[in-house]
Amino acid sequence: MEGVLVPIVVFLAVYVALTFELVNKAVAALLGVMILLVLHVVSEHQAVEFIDFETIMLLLGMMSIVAILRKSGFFSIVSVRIAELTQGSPLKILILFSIVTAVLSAFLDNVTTVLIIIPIIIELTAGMGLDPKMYVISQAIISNIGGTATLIGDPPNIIIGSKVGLTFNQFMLNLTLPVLVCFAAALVYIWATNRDKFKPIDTNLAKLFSVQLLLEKIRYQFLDTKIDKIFLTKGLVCLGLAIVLFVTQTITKLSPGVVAMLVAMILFVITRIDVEEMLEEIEWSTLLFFTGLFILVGILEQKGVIEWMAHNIFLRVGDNPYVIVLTVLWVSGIVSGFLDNIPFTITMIPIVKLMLESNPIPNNILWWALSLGACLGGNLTMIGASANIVSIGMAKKFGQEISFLDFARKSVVITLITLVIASGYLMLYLWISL
Amino acid sequence: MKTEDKEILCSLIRDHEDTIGSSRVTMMAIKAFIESIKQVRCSVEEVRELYLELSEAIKNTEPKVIPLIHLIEEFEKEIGEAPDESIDQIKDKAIQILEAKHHKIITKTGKVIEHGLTCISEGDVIIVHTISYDVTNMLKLARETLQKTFKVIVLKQDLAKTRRLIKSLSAAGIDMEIIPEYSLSHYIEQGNKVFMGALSITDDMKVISAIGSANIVSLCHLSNLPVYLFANTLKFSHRHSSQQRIHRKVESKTHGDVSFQLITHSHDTVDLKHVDFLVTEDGIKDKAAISEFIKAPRS
Repeated sequence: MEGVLVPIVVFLAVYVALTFELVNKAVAALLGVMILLVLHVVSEHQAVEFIDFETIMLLLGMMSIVAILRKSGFFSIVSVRIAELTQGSPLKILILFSIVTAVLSAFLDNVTTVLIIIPIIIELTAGMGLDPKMYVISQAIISNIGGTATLIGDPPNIIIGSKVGLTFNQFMLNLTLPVLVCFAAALVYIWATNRDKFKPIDTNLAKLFSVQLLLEKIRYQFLDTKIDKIFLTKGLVCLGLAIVLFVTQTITKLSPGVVAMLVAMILFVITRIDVEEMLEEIEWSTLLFFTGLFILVGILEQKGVIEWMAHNIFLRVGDNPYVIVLTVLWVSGIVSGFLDNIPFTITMIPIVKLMLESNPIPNNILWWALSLGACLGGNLTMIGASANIVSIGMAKKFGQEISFLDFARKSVVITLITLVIASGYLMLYLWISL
Repeated sequence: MKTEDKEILCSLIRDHEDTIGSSRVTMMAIKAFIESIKQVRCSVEEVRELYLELSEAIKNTEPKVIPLIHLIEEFEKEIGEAPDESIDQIKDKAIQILEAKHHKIITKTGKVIEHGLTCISEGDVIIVHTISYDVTNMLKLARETLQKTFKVIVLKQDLAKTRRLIKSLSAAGIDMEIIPEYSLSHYIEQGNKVFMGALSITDDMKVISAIGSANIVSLCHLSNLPVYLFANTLKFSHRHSSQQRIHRKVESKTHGDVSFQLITHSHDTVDLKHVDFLVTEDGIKDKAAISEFIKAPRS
């Protein structure tokens, strides 16, 4: 391991900058890369080779699809219809919005989902005199749980799927069951710990009256833009096409990145949307952040640091597959609660590969452990996942301050419950597989 | 009913009135009342108390929504006591009465619009400030159905309020110019009439209307522009303008190194003598006839 000190120091410095949000994420990662390039730790050509373009394509494609769908008013229509369906019942608000949040997070992206859902849920609950904080926190948590179910639902899954070559169907088949159980458990926990806040309102005429007025206000605020039905139909058909192509990946041999980019380009053409305007909606800083991290981790891998970490940290747990799986799950879960789960997942992928070389574990169970840990662990604290940070930010904008402790009071127990469920599922799966 | 629930109901009605006008909010509130009656679970003993509790809350909003109050008072009288009826019968009866009230406000508003259409002539340049259901729909009908050509100068207030008016007029293909309300003096010579709506007309001959309208009407009156007020007779209040419970809001503001308390009101009070024509469901009254018409007894 020659010349490892500089990349390790740079990598740790980038991690610190990311954790404490000292600079923009993309700037932190790319500055780290630039330092290593200037110090000739790596050449430009080598650096470019470390970038996983499959992941970047998938992210860029999905961001484009989501941006166009957002423009179509699809999310607003869904959210307002759900608000109408609840008719102001606190329990229905929790359950119906959670279902929508989970499904949208699974098939689109968590941040967009909470950006749309949170304002409506705050308007609805605050307008009814309920405590919006509980609903905001629950939707952030649910979006992370829902996103765990699919390859495209959460960045850690996108990275694992692309870098390891796991298909959309494999994610669905292996993760849907534990995610459904985690989803139900999270809702039951939220309901059980706040039962007094979920009393029905159908005996209160004045409240029912206010709800009707409130729904009208929500319709006015969120459905005021004219919906172009043709535009919306094109968007939904293309989203359907993308999902079909994801599902039939083993037949078409088209990788998720290619599918997402292809569908995004088709959408750009058939909707005749202003491409420049749509490109402004793309989170370029996230894509650059991914690019920088791929290079940084690639350098560490090339210098043998990852192998050293695998052998001296993770492989020390022994060769018992149950212990290995649980270690990956819980370490991922707890670390993702405090650090950004994107760099963590990128770092863990080569480590898990080395662990599998030493101790082959069937049915990709170790990858599912990493996915479940990294995605569900994001719920541990309010800084654990982008959806949490965005939800808290949106709530603040609407006058609802949620502190680190407010979030943790709900999220810690739910995270532990979901990690225990994931542990049980993985143990059972491993037991059947061995 | 908790104070907190009353405040929520009050602010919802106020918000709606602010953005869609009192006629529309009255229709919306009656529909909401019907929907809530359909959904409520209660016993025969409780139902009347629940109706009265909600009616009382609706009658005491800030500001008072006079057309809604009139209709709710009529509802209270008509629902009466019915000790022998089942809960479903009582609910059905209440819904029927409210459906009739909903129809009543729609009919009256429709007639105001019908009379109002005669106030629009080819080539008019109409200054519009308040967000009134009657005025907006009248302008749309004049353009879309009667194919009249006219221009509207929209006085932009808070965009959240004016947005719907701009969208409606734009969708109807009405030629319009949008200017800030404080810039009216530059456009006063262009306009040849002013259209306004009202929340209520009080027995001391005042019009309770959107915030900012007192200045607009005064300027237009001084410039001899005829002011048309569109209001159905349900908007006539038996009370004094000081009893309309105009909402007063005190907000703490900080701007740079200056901190202060900003006091705002939900509505303005405009002297009715500045209004040249009053358009109701009963027709158009000119300045001389307005006072007598308002004071005339009504059933």
